[in-house]
Amino acid sequence: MKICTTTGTYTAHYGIREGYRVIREAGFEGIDWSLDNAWDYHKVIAAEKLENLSIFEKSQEEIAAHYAEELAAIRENGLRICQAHAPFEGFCYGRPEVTEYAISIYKNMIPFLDRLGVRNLIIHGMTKNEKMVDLSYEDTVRINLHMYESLIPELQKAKTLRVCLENLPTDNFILARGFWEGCCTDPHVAAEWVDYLNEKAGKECFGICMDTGHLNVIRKPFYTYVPVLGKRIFALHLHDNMQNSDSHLIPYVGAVKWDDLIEQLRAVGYEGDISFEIGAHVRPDRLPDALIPIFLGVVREIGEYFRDQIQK
Amino acid sequence: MKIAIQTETLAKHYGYEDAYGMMREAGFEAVDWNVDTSWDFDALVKAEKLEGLCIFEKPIEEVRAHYAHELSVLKKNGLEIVQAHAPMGCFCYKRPEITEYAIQIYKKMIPFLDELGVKYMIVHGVTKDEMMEDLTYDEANRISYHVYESLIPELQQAKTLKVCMENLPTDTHIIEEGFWEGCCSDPHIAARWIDELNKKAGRECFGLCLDTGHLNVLRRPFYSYIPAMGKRILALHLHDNMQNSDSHLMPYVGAVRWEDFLEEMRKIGYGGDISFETCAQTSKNRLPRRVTPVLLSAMHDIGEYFRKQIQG
Repeated sequence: MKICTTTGTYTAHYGIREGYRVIREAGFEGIDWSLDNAWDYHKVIAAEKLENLSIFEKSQEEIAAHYAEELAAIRENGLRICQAHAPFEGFCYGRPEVTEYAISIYKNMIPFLDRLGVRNLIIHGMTKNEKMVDLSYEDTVRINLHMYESLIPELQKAKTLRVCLENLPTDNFILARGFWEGCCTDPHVAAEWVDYLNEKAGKECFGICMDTGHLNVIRKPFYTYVPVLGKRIFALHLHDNMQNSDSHLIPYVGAVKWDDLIEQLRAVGYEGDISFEIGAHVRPDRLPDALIPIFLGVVREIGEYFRDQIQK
Repeated sequence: MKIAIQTETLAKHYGYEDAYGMMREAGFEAVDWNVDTSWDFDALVKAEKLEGLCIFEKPIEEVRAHYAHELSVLKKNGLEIVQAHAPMGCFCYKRPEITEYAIQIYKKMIPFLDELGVKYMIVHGVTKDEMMEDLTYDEANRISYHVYESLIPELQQAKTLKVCMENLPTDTHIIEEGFWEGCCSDPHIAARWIDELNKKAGRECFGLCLDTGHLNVLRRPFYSYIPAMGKRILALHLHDNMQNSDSHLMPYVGAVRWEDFLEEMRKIGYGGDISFETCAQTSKNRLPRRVTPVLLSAMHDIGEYFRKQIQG
């Protein structure tokens, strides 16, 4: 059970070597590798041809070369890549070819990350929002299951890597600061999908990455979510908010009920990592440089507290 | 320029020994003493006779005995009392005798705090709100001014103690998450009051305690407030919020523009203390005991950063 943070904010601001040094010096043991920047979604949906938009279109050798320097910095700082975030969205309304493109990218990420010993790749599903007038809820189920099912052949070959679905909220475009439930927010549906996919794969290839902030904005208590999913929860995105915005704040400054989270994770015997997704808060345009290591240190210490309490 | 933190809610939740020990270990040098707990406003407004409601009704010898233990624990931990918060409110709609009672209490607090070497006592003024139908804005101001003016004789005899007014918001009872400007939120009026009162006192007996969170819920930028108050700002209540609630959180977790604050404070040559009013952040209801020292230490480090930036 390692204490991890996302990486994108720090490598973007400090550069690769310095970014990982800052993470290590704060005491983190592992990372949630921010590979979500492996494509620029706006470019993907603006492109006439879905080509040359992501490094994961290339061969495994080219991908390995592209990330060689970063992987060396991760290794030098003694950080383990516990989980990685796939680029999103894998969906564009009225453009099914975007989903097919996303599937091809995710398929190519699996062997690359598996060779690195990564345990969980987090892939967002798609959620209907109010602008998608012709799309039914059943259509979204079909699109999501198609996307995850398409990855089964690669996952069956993987040694360590599994794919995690994530509970998502979706913006309400009518009500300011409003949200609706999104993909995998109903734990019964999420559990049904995970079980269906694993049965199809013939092994445990799929699980859930539970996002605490996403549950909080839709006012869903942990005691109605965690027990239903139980051991299907493989990974975490830990962050806080005030329920009016998905702000990705450090724990204990918002409305998330952390004691409830700890109690529920302990009750289901959670054994995954303690991974924070607080890059939107502990970031240089929000904090002075001098305070970033202090805030990262606070988060790591909270992580130790969480670990001790969950393992109690 | 000392780095201070308010004593509540830590003292109430953990007791003096544990609370003041945690503050010292986090590096705090001083406290903002929450003597505002010395009356219970609800008990006050319900009382048939305004008697036996506050320790400051008693002779100074009894007041000293009442606080002896707490003061010894503060001293043992090397924590100086740089400012203290007077009990609030000094006003109850259509009950002018409550204001006179409050004035008598404040008058008795002045010599007690002065002999302890406290520099500032923060006394809230009166704000009209929407429930006070017959009270005009001018009347509310007249009552506030009367409270402060009544304290001049005691302040003239004090060696160190001054009284600070505080910029306040008031709840709108009609709109959820709404606020209106309250007492001293207009810096031009606050500055005029302070100058007039100091002139009447014949020396500098009055100043302002600038509350960052209260300005933030009113959407008032520091650059439109601090320059107008200038050197009249003698003390601080530093805390953060999301502009929808006076949440009293630690800096850099909300919407307060701290870099603007530091720039304006540097420009006016602020020489007072760096005092945090983050009771809700460190409350036992929000934070587990084990994580409390972690956040206290981070706040102290933020204080060090503020001090360096303000002192240039």
